[in-house]
Amino acid sequence: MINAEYVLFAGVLGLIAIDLLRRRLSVSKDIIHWITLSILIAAFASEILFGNLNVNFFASIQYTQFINGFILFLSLIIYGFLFADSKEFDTLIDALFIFAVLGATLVVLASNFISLIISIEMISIASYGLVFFQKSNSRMEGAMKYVVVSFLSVIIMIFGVSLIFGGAGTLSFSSISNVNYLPFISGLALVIVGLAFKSTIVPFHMWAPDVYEASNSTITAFLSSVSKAAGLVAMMRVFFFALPVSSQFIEVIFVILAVATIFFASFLATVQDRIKRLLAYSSIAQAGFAFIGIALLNYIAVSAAVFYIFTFAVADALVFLAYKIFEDNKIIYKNDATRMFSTSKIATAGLFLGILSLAGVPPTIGFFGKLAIFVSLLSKGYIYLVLALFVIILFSTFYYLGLLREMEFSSKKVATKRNFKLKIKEALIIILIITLFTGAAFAVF
Amino acid sequence: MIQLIGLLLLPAIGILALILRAATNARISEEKIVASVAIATAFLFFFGVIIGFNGISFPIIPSINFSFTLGLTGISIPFLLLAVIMPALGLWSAYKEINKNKTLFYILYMFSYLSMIAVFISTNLILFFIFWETILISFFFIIMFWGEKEIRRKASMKFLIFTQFGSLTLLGAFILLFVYTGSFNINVIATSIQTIPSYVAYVIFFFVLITAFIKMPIFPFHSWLPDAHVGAPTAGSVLLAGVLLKLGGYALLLFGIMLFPTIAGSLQIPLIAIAVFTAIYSTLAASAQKDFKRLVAYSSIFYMSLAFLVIMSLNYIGQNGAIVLIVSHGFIVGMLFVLAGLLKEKTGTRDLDKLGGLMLKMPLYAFFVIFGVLATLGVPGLSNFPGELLVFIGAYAAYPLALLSLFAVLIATNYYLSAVKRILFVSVPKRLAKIKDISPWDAMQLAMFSIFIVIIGILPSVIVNSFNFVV
Repeated sequence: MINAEYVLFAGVLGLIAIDLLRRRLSVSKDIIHWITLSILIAAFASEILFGNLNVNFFASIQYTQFINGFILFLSLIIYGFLFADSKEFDTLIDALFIFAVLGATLVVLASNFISLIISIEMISIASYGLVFFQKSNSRMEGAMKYVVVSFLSVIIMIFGVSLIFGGAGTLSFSSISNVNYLPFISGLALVIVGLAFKSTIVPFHMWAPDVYEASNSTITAFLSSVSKAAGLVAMMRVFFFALPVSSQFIEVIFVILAVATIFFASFLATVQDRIKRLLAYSSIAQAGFAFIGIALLNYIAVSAAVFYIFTFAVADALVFLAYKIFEDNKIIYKNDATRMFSTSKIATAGLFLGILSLAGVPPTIGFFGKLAIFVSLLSKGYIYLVLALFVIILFSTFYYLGLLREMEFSSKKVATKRNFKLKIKEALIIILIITLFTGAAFAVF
Repeated sequence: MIQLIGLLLLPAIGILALILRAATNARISEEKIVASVAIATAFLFFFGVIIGFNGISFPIIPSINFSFTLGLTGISIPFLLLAVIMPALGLWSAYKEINKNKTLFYILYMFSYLSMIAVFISTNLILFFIFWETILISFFFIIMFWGEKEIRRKASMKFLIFTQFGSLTLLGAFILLFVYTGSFNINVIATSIQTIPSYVAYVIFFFVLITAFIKMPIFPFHSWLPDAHVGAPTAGSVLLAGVLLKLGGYALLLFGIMLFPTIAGSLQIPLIAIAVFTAIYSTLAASAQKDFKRLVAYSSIFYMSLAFLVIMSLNYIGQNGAIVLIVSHGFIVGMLFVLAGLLKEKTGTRDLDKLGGLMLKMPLYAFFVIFGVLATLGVPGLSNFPGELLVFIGAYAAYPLALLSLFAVLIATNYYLSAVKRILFVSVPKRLAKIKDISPWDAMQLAMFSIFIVIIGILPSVIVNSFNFVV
């Protein structure tokens, strides 16, 4: 079986080898970029054809093909965008990108705490490089923050895993059954903290807006969609498929964390001036919604969470990629949104529809995602919580549409030079827009 | 038999035509496309009313029971009449008023046209909600981009925040119905309504009630309406008052009263009290307005509160009266908003203090103002009369004290007649010495409204026979 993970792994090794011999063989950077692109395409194709690998520490379960499929799809789009944007970037980026994607697909499959931590570290280490090597003003600050926070989170997580081993005597998800509660639960709590850092759950979200803002928007798209999706899926695997106990107490704590995430992120997003920061906070709020599905820990809710992760990953990738085009034209603050339409019509449409999807307006997939989450909440009887979420959604509608109303749709002459690069980028945005409307077909619950 | 999907395909073709027009720089103007689509849809609708409609159903996402199901509910036809006719009648105002970004405006206009028709014929609740929400978003942008400069930002945001909360509670009700009956199809839900535990039924009813309170609107959720009307362009106001407010009544009848009559019965007295209070409150508020458009907006709150009052009377006469009143009010208030728009266009102001004596200067306009005001006050022979008559009979049968709302009618008569006095009579201010009367096209537009008002006034049975309401 040629699984996507083998393709990616072989790809990373091959890329590093070619890169080492690049000078001697006089291979241009372009060729390496093309090779990277074809590796991603091959991985996506083999994911669809052959599914996931099923070996000792990595096992595929019901959703993993869907999740890895969309992770590879989004990575492909994001890499295509990066490639179209500038061909000048270092070849190291190629290897790092593939490495991060490999990490993300392995996180989804991990069936053991050790393999989980290793896969998460694969994403993290590659992401430091991606944040740092891309040109941006405060990249050093962003990368440093990311490194420090990630190290901290992984140390906490490893400590938690060692406690879990103490409590359960095994680290494999499937064989945890008889546990010694005290070390097990405290270890689990530490693992929650570690994973919450990755998937930006309040109160472990502080790093996200800074890092997102400091890095190139294309990389932000990767961090906020693929990497975050992987973190959330890891949580889902740990808590739904590994936890022998599902108690009311854990559920309530998780729901509180989720609602706190949505509430704080939405509240902080309303006061942001810069578009990218607003989008960053909104992406934190989205993670909170997905976390609700994980928190409820039943079959409907986990399916809803999987679907929700898909919806916000697509929408986040779309808005950040569209924003990349505007960022290049110095559209930074909300007031600058008036110039968006004259910069690129398609990117404006992309940002517009992406934001509508994040706000949960039908018929975009964002609506179906929220619908799924609400169905799972109401079928467990959380009526008051749903009412509270309505208020928060109103809040978020306020800032989302507050951004949209700054746009000015006049048929003035397009100011930017239209070239082939821009056309490719717009084509990729159009693909994501189509996904935004057709993705509802994957709704499973 | 006419396929119901035809009513949606025509506007969809219109949207495509508008996009193609923009892409190819064709010579034909946007208004011509919209007008021809509107006329074709109206003909199809009337044809369908005569020979009958045919539903359609195919699944989209079976796992969540989301299917594209079109069909008529018992009360669709009268609402559909408003949804089909209103955008066509408001088009002339849009033609005069909208100067910038015409293509985008008409695309949004067509989107709301499509969705308004679709809301009243979709029997799958997800489909219903998708179109319900599309209307809101299109209206948000219509007010935001083409509204009146001074207040459009505030008005559009207020509109969005209030009505979005209303649609979220409606969504909550839908999801609860789905969780307990396992279906999003209104007909399936109606048959398996007994499976819902009573406390959940109360929650659902309460959610629908909040939606109706916001959309109709009823005190204390009414404050978005006057701002939204003053902020919106005239064509927007016509649709807002003519169709959007009616959505609240439709949702309340369909998901509140028809599904949970006993719960409605147990809450009858307090809800009637709120309706009576809203009636008196809104007429008093209208009395204090100087802006003619704002006055009409407050008076439309008054008529919707009468409709709510009589929906809550829960008897056959009252329900008939409510629907007749809702339909007739749609035409009348649309006409009054067009008149307010003309006032602004011709004299430059809607401030009643700065107007006067237009009877001499603009006799044609004066005729329509008096016609509209008489119609709204319920003069026999015009459309509000049968509605109001049935409303008060029904309200009396349910709860005699509800007749307190007759005081509101008294106050309404007072402020409307005094508005007529201040616009048409007294002396002409110097500023208005040279104004001209409205054009024949304006008169045509107003005459179209008048025709419907007269028809419903003389033959209310046209409306009453078109629906079949089972309590």
